[in-house]
Amino acid sequence: MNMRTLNLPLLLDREEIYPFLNLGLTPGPLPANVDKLIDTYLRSITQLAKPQGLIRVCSIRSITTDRVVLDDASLVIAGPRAVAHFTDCEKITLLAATLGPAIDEHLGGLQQTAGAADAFIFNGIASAAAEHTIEILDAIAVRDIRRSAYYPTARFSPGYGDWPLAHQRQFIDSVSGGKIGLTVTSHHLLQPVKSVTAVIGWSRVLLERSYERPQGKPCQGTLTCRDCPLKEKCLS
Amino acid sequence: MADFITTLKKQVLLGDGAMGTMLVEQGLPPGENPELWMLAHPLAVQQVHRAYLEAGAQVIQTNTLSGTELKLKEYGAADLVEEVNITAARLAREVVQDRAFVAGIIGPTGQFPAPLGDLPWTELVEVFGRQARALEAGGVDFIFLETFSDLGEIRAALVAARKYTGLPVACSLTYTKGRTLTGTSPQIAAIVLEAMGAACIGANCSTGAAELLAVMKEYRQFTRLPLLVEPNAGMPVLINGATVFKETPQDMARFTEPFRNLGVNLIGACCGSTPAHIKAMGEALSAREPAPLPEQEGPPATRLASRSRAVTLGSKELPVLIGERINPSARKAVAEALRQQNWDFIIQEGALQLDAGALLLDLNTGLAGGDETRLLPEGVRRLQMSLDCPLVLDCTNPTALEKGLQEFQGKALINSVNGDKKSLNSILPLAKKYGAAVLGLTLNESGIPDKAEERLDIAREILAAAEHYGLPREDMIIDCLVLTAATSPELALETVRAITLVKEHLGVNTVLGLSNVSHGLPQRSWLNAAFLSLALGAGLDAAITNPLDHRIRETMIAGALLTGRDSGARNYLAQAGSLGSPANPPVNEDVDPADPGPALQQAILNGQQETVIPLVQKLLEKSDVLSVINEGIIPALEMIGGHFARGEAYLPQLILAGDAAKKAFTYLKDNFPRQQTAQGGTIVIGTVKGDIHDIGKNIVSALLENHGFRVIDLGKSVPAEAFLEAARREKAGVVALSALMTTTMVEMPQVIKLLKQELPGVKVIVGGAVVTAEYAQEIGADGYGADAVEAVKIVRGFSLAPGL
Repeated sequence: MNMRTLNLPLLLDREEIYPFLNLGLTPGPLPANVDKLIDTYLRSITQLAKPQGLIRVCSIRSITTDRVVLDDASLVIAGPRAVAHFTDCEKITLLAATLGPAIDEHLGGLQQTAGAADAFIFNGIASAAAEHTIEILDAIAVRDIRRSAYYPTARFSPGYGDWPLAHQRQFIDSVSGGKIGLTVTSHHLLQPVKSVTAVIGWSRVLLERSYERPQGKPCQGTLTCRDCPLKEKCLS
Repeated sequence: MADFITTLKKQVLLGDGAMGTMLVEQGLPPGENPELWMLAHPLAVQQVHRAYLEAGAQVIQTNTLSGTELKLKEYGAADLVEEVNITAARLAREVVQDRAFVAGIIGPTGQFPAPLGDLPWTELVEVFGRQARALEAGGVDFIFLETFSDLGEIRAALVAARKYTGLPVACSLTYTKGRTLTGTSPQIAAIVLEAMGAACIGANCSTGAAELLAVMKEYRQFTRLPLLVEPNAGMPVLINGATVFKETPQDMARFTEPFRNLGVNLIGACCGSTPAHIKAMGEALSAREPAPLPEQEGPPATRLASRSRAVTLGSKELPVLIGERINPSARKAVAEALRQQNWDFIIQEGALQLDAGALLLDLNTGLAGGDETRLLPEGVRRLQMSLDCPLVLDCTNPTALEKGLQEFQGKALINSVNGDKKSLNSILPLAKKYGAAVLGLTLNESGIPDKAEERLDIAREILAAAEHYGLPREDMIIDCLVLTAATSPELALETVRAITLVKEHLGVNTVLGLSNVSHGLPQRSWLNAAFLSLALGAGLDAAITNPLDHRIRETMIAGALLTGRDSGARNYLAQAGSLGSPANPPVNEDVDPADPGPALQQAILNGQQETVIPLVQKLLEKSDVLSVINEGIIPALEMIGGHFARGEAYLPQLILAGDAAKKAFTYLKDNFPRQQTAQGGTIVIGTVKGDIHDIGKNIVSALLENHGFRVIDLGKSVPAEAFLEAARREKAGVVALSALMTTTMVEMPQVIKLLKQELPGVKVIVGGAVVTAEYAQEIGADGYGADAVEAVKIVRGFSLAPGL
């Protein structure tokens, strides 16, 4: 199985965090207490997080209008809108990233002992860290794809477009998510919470790798806005 | 032919361009490995070399970017490393003869060495060594490591090329937004790769010439080595169904002079470029003389680095605190942690010291009865994964030290050598090989001399030995050593004098293991701080000490200002501000005693949690509980809510104000239990079944409470029946439902249906990241809160019976 496990660095810039705290992209001088909480929790997340990732490359066995079936993996990319992203592809890279369980535990503790602002800021920074981690995995995968003379598609995740989130369990099984402590709840949510899964297609045809990141919004950068479940609120 | 590096220092050389896209034009099929294809199509590869040579290229690169055994293995050809690389080198040499230099290209393996990946670093060295040997055997002029994106991997390739060949090595990384994939900046790359013996450094590929101009500017600030650049012809785009690299030969030619002016002496191109690009770039060069290097100001600084953070020691820099607490000889808890392999404890020790102001961490794993050859590399691995600072490897066992240096993906400081020949001869070569700076103790076989002049002599001998091994002077830091004042108080000033002499006569940076001075005495902090002050006055550049001692920290900050190292007192003022004034300023003493209401409102608006209770107390001297709520707390919340709604306040400010208001409410509830503080009615709130996200729900809950509602928070993943049961039991007027995911928001209509059926008078509001007003309407909710402020507004619009 073509699979890699990586321990990833976490070098989060403040600018990456601001959108996740509803502060826009460049908020200018922040109130001292907000600034201090960001500093405090950025430091603690950097210390608590153990960012890890899994990368697996699978060949495509078959593509129909509503299913992409992979070789040697139970994961299926389902839904006509989701499949449309991969029609020119020959392979699929599966990515899974997590910050590890200590972040969830600490957040749980903060919610019991600290104010809502502390929990909100910790949670926002952790979300930014998870996004940062999947971005690094994305860049590694894209580098490999380009060097193999293919073009990468945009990143796409279960739950986006019409790809049911119920496929999350197959996803985690297909990348042996247990290796980095990843599991799925009965409602198809990842545990630890600060985790992300995504696929990238290998295309012989150059594709627009479009991330329509709405300015200053906490965009997950996973796909075009059209397929995003947050689009109505985000773009309003 | 002249030596490559000698030529490069004297003239600007033109490199070649892309190989892959040119081979595709020559017939390389998609998906084929270019190196293996070359074995069957040597003339096609030579045709590319010839085209670039004719375009004016003076450096021709071998077709071996994926020529390591790890890359060839992907095509079942791991045993062809020698054949591929020797052939590629010979093909290039045959074409260029002595009309150009041949660069033996080595590219990344696609694997990451530990700690990022699971490939042992030492194994990677052997992988690169095999390719480098083959390229040398094929006759290349230098080894060119290019397109690397991980500092650890290029370190392995550099060590391999230097270990297994006698050729100079050029190192080139790729950057996006000024950093490599794994977070290394040009500054860090310059510091680390120069120290490890790279002959030339730079950047290639990336997104294009414009971005690399900024990268080269940063390189030039931190190294005097010749620089190289080979940008892409932009990023590929799809135009009329064809892949096009948008930067034309003329576009790229515009950058050649700016690159030359920065001191870039090898200028070529990467993906998407053609011989036409190289020709245009050559023609755009107004001269081939290298730009003069900028004047060096003052004594050179000592630069250390982790994978992503640099620290500079020098007379013009702020003195540096080196955390001493990870030392099993000095601390039993550390010894126990090392014995138990409790690395979390060690990491926590490191984190505490960094938080307290240390910029470097001393790592000593010399545990009595422990195996330092195992503990030191493991400690390095663990610390560098969690903490972002350069390490000081406190170890005199050469075997353990070498393993530690291999693992550290940066430029470390070795602690230490001394004047003893055995120490110098065993440690200094390791520093040279792995690119580390070295701390030299002014002692020798006879011990520590009493007199400062004799310590200066030993320092001189250490520097001579370092020079012999090719270590630059700025990478040597001298520790003039202090003995405990318990036995030799008279020698403390001799150490101070030795620092002065070393700075005056040798001009190198100095460090001191500070805490020795107080060994065996009470109130060690007094002595440590006083001695630090004296040493700073003598020119000390760094101290190995306990950063958790606030006296030490304060002395460092103040000492830096008084010794002229803190220009404009910037650091002093910043530190004094952060240490002296918390984020929430204290209660304003000018609060009007006759009317503390405005001050309370202001405190809530500013989220000043520490000040609200004293203000509430002041207000209660004049008013009753309800007045405090209605005239102090609620108006402040309305004000911040209004600011937020108009975009004049950020969400964190709104929440902080909510937290401050909650403090006031809690105080009132706790101290006046008989008074009614909840006036707005009862609300049951929760995240629907299956959803484990509750940050947003908690914010709404807090804000409702602050507005006087009695809130029964059921938490997350709440079944419909639990909402019903709570609403019935608590006689709630409103039930608020939250969901973050599309998969869980479908629970909302189930809850609404049940509530409407059983408790038709209860209002239901919904909210959450994916919920929209339309959805709320569709499922029969009575209200939809786009955010917490709106949720409060909606609930206030319902007429509810007062809360219990």
